[in-house]
Amino acid sequence: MVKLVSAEGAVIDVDRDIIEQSALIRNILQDVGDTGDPIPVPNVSGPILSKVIEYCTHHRDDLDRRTRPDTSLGGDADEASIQRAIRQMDEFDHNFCKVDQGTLFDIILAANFLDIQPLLDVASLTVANMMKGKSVEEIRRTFNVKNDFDEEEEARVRSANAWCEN
Amino acid sequence: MVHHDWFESLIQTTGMPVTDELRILLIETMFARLPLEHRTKLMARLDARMRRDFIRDLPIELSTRILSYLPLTDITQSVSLVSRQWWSVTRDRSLWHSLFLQQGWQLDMDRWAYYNTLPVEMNPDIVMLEQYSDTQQLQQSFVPMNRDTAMASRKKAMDRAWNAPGLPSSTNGHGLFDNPDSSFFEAAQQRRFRGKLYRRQPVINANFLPPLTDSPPRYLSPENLAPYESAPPIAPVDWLGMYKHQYQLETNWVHGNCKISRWPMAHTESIYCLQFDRHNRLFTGSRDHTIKVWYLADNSEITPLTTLSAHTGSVLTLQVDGDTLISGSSDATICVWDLKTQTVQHTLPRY
Repeated sequence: MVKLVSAEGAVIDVDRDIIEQSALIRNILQDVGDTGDPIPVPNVSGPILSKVIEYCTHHRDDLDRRTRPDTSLGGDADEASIQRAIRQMDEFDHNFCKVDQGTLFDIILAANFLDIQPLLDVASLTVANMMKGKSVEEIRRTFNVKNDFDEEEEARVRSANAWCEN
Repeated sequence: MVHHDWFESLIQTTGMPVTDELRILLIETMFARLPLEHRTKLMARLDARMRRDFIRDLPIELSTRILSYLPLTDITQSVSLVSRQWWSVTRDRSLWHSLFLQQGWQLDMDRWAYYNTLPVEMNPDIVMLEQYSDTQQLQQSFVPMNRDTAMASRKKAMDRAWNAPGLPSSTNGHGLFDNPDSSFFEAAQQRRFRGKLYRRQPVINANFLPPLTDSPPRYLSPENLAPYESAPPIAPVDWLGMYKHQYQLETNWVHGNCKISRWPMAHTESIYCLQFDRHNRLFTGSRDHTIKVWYLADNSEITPLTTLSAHTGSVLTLQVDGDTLISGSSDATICVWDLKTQTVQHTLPRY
């Protein structure tokens, strides 16, 4: 058992093999050893930490997820790894991400902080799907974004991107 | 917030302990008493409050990660037009790096480093030819990329990168309408050109074949290289520019967009084979028994360099490696050419 301390100071117990899907926690346990001392996770609130543990518990036996290459910063992302992320999204993942935007936002931050790449993929992909195939106006409504372009700027954006109009 | 304090003190007048449950109870009670019209409006406003601007509010590496899952047309035709902030995220270099790799495209980093050592404007080869108008210097500019020259190129690239003012890092340089790399390149060019203007007109001897040399030229002598043993980082790549370039190339290929032009000193019969090398040389083998060597500039201007005649039949196949060209012909021979001297080194007959 590993003890995690959320932002509010609540202690959450979790099996070591579950939470080792977090590269951050895995590295801490490897470097410091399992001393039994609680590990503070100051950037993650209790409810979000519980969600993350729910995800990790479901995928505790999916070993191939853990070995997939790190695609953070997009540096090493290739088509294969992104296609795999899409293919790997199962029923559980889809339902897991059916949450309000605030929760999804915090899950992305937590997955990034804890370095759980498959979860970061799943959550980022969910946000991307909320934009895919939508009009500009629909995207603004979906994410409550104000249009702050003036006409001239908008024309410049359009002409700068004209190279891929088919 | 005055509003908030007023609300809290109102709750306190109930005499009950102020908890989230109590707040919810009060709000629900008030909500139920509103006319339907106001409830609908209120719901819409609350709904908007629950939405998050992921692209604006997440760290840039996470925003770009989200966008990297989108098809190109979504990024360029809708996402980029949402707001100024979104537009600037769609210009991020690491996003385009990721999209570039997703296409299965590759960039030869050695060649990129090599190009960075040249006084690049938009057309590196043209400028290069202008600058080195005399033969000796031109030879040096065609040095093959072995490890040492690559290292020296990186060193030069680094010098420019570190000395150039306004070099963007991954954490800034997201100004509106600001190509993250343009300021770097401008600054780098100003440094290199030092006010000199180069005419955009190639100066090249039509019969001159730029020979390759194995010995490093003067400025790459071992003494000069000594302080730069560890390979320094390469100048940042304009990934958006690279993506565009490759995209346009592939689009042209798919749609068959091309320009047919007549070349000076062309073959008199069909061309059966061709090869490129990394010095922009094009080799063509023809039914007219000859091999021709061309210099292909990036603006698709073609300059004939030489004609190699030895075969007595059609030239059917070519391979080039450094300064060695090997040709196979229907005269049943293989010729091994030395491109420096433009002569046949060996003939392998009757295979």
